[in-house]
Amino acid sequence: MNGTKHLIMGLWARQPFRPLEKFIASLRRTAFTGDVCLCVEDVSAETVALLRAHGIIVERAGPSAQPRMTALSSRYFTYLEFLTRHGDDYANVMLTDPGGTVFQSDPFAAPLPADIVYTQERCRLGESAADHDAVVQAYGESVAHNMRDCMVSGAGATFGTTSGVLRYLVAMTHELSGRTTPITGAIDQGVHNYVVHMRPLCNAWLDQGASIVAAMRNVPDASVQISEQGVLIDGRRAPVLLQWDSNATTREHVRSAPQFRLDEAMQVAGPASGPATPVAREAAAATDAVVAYYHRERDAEWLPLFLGSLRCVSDSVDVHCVGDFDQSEQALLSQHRCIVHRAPVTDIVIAENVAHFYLSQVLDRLAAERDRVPGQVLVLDSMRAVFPRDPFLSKTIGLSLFCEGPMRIGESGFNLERLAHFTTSDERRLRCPIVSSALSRGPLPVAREFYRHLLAELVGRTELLSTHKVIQGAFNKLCHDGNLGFPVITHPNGAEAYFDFWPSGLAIDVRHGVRIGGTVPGIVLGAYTETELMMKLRIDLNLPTQ
Amino acid sequence: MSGKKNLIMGLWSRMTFDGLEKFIGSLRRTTFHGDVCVFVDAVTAETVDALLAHGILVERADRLATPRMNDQSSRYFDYLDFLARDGEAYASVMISDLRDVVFQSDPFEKPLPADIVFAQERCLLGESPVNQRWMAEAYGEAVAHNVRDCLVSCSGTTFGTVSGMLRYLVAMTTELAGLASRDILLSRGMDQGIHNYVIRMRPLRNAWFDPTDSLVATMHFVPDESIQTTPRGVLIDGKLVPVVHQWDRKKITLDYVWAAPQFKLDAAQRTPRPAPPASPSMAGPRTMQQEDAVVAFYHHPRDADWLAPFLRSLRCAGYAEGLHCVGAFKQHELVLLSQYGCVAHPIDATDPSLDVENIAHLFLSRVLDQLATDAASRPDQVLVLDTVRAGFLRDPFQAKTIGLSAFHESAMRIGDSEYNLHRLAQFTAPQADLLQRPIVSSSLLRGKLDIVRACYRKLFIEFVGRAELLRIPKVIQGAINKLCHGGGLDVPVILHPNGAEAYFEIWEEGLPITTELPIRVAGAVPFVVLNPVRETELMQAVRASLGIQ
Repeated sequence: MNGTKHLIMGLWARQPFRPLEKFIASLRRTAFTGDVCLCVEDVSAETVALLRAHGIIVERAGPSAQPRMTALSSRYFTYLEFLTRHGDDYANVMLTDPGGTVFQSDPFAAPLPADIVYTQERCRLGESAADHDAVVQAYGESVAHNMRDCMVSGAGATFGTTSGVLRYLVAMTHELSGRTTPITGAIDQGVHNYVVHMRPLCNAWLDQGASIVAAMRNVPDASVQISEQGVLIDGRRAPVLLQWDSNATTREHVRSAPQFRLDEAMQVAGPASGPATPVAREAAAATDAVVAYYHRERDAEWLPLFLGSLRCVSDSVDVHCVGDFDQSEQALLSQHRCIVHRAPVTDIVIAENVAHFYLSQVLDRLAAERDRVPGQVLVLDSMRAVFPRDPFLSKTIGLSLFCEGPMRIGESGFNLERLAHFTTSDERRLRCPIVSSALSRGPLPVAREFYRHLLAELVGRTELLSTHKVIQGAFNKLCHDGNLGFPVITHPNGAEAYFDFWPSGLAIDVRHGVRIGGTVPGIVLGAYTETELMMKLRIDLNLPTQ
Repeated sequence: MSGKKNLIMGLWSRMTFDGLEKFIGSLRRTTFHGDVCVFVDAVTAETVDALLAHGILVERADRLATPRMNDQSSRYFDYLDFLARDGEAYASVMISDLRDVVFQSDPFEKPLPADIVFAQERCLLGESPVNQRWMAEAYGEAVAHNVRDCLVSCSGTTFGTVSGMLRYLVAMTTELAGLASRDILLSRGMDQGIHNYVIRMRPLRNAWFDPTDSLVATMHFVPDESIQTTPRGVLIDGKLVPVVHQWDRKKITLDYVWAAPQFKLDAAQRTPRPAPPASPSMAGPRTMQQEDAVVAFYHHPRDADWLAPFLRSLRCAGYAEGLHCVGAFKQHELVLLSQYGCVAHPIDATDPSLDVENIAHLFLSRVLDQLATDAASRPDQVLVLDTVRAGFLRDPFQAKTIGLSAFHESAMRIGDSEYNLHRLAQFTAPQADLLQRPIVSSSLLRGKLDIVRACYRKLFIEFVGRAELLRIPKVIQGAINKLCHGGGLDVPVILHPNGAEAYFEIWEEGLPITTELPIRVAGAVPFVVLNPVRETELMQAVRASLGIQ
């Protein structure tokens, strides 16, 4: 937790971009130069694009969401997951409801008064029916009575050091996990108040003086004054106004004042001076790259889905496509900031073998580039795929390979025959699961080293390439023999890549995005664009379904 | 995170200290110099004492337990909570079973090969009926079938950098949360099914399932011919593995570990307890030397039966820092205080005409002044109690914060209590708003030393020229309510509802109380329960939970 930037995080679900105008415009007019990350759920591709255009990091809530909870409650799990991945980049964090928040100055301009700072509303729990009911729903009547004289804290804005917010999120997720009542409605507000009052956290403070946030819901009209400085509450200008639309004076001011309007100039990727943009954020580390082989006859229908879904889940990844492209395809590739590598058309029967020669050549080219050598690469022999999440989210050491399903080599005549071209099939190999040759992932040097081994298997044996997908035999030989000199991680079907080619029996859950076998894979590969699963993914990502 | 210590964490539940001999004995003979933190659940006071004597940080495990999870599953929440609090003090972490783990060298001697390193067992998930069943019960047959050809990972040992371990623990607790509405988490070993699901179906960034046993050998499925015992230790396939897990599953390692001297504890291995983890904080930087301190007032006629359980419960709750008692002590009481590492501040017998709960604060204040004068041992925060009629359930400073912490006696308001109205009226004319405020107890206060001292200065100003007030029982509570509610203190005042930090078992509250483990008051675990009557059901449960009489 040694970062120096600050982070503002929120959830944006089932809404268009427009209601975020006040939040973004007001923030961009302050001195805040940190990152803004919005976890999105069920929003359109246009909304995602606009968020990114305004320098906002977009994170999909689905992979870390809790299916049995509402989005409002589940968001704490998503925030926690994000912070454990990126917490080291940040000094302080604000969790907020972006729809009801506007900024009057940088909320981190002054040092935080405690490790965790909760927002106080001007109301006691016993006086607010909604808050009282939320506590009752989560903990029962007697606990709500015990807390009746505690001030309400609004869950809509919480601040802290990164480690402080981590503690808060651990407490929130733990309390939510322990509830036996249905996690519905605004129960998260009840759980939040329970954590604030009944499960106090080290160095936490319910800010009685509205030093950072003024929660407007119960502020009397007499306390609100509009001045040239902005909205003053009891003569003071709070950096953040929460629930600005619940006070008539504030609502009118925010709706009419120019500082709450977006303008063209804000469509830059964040302040020029700070590394606030997703692209800039990634630039500090090596960018990852997807390298995919395109065969028109086979992949034409998939190209917009492949590119559209990939850009929906990851803006920063480099995309390289190798193949023979016509003008309309080139335009599409360009529109998605994809780098084209030309290769001649090949017979479709051998495309899945030949693809790897071209992919290997592209990897060599990337390694030779001085200023943009990728960190990790995901190599695909086809573009018949959709991305439900960033495919590099769980990248790791060594080479990642992917099982097509639970079927073993010995149970598949197709794969036995292909393996037999490269090695004898002993009992141990026959019991190994089938690894797909469709994709692989790893650090660039590891992927190139793997290709050296792979292509060595084919030296002097070009006749093998006429056997459809024969290269999968070589993949399975290499990855199960363990002689590659680097770790090989073999992922089961669905964990990272899901093969939608045959029934897997894995349950599909569409609450908070699409889950397969309880998890959200980084990529779903298929033969048809209109299977039930593909249609669900296209709807979830707001991709064209016609 | 270079230059930081490493950490080993584990759970010790319902067992005696003897079972830890091999773990501690072997670890202390390696070059490991980090911290060991043991979460205890239903263990005796002697076990806690012995752990502390061997330099081990003790945390109560039951604070975070959830009713529909056994301790094996809920331990991940404990680990995550600890790392979220104190992770900044550490570089790398091992979470470990304790009973059947021995060390042959420091597992952190070499840099970890990945941010998260999982331990393998030499068996496929599909070949282990028990692992297959756990996976199937939690996630369904199709998922279990889908991963049948993956090697089993043992959840008993996992290694990682702090940030890697946080990612792993968040993934585990998120999965556990998703299953918490079902009763399957009460099944022993189910956490291993979830652990294997996380590894295989929810892969984590920079995580690695180590098929080379580079850090740990999990013995159950290791063939006998791979095991060799030598004077250097246990070799697995000719390699000296830093950690041997499940050493009791193989006769050759069982015999070896039982017999070899390097696995025995000896007196020399009793080490001083480590300094508490120090994390930089917005609430003021803290040095490693600055401990916290509990300062309590003892009144023999009132508290004699309570002294031993007070001291014992505080130490059993894992609190190992400063402890001061002020009172007129008898010789055997001084011995008792010394036994618990408590500094005695003897006073002469007090004037019987003055109420003891009033004058207690005068003596407490003097002790605070003394503590403030010694720069070397000056505490960071203090908890002052006007009584020792209390039992502790956890470290009273676990949730310490800025400002002054004061504690509600109950949900009752001042205006609903003649007793408190009368006392408040000695200091201020109770306005309508004040009558609506809950009653703050004068029994205990917590905060940074200087803040509590400043509070005492303001408190005593209320009595200047009015010494006769000290004859009114507990009149000081009126002054405390005036200051806490009236804004007369220049620091934030954090008022904790009854049960959140301190539970006053005085009134019929109607709060749900669980006296079976894990003890809960309104779903929370207060650090202290105060009660003038020692033998209530809750008090008995508190003592029983700590293994004390």
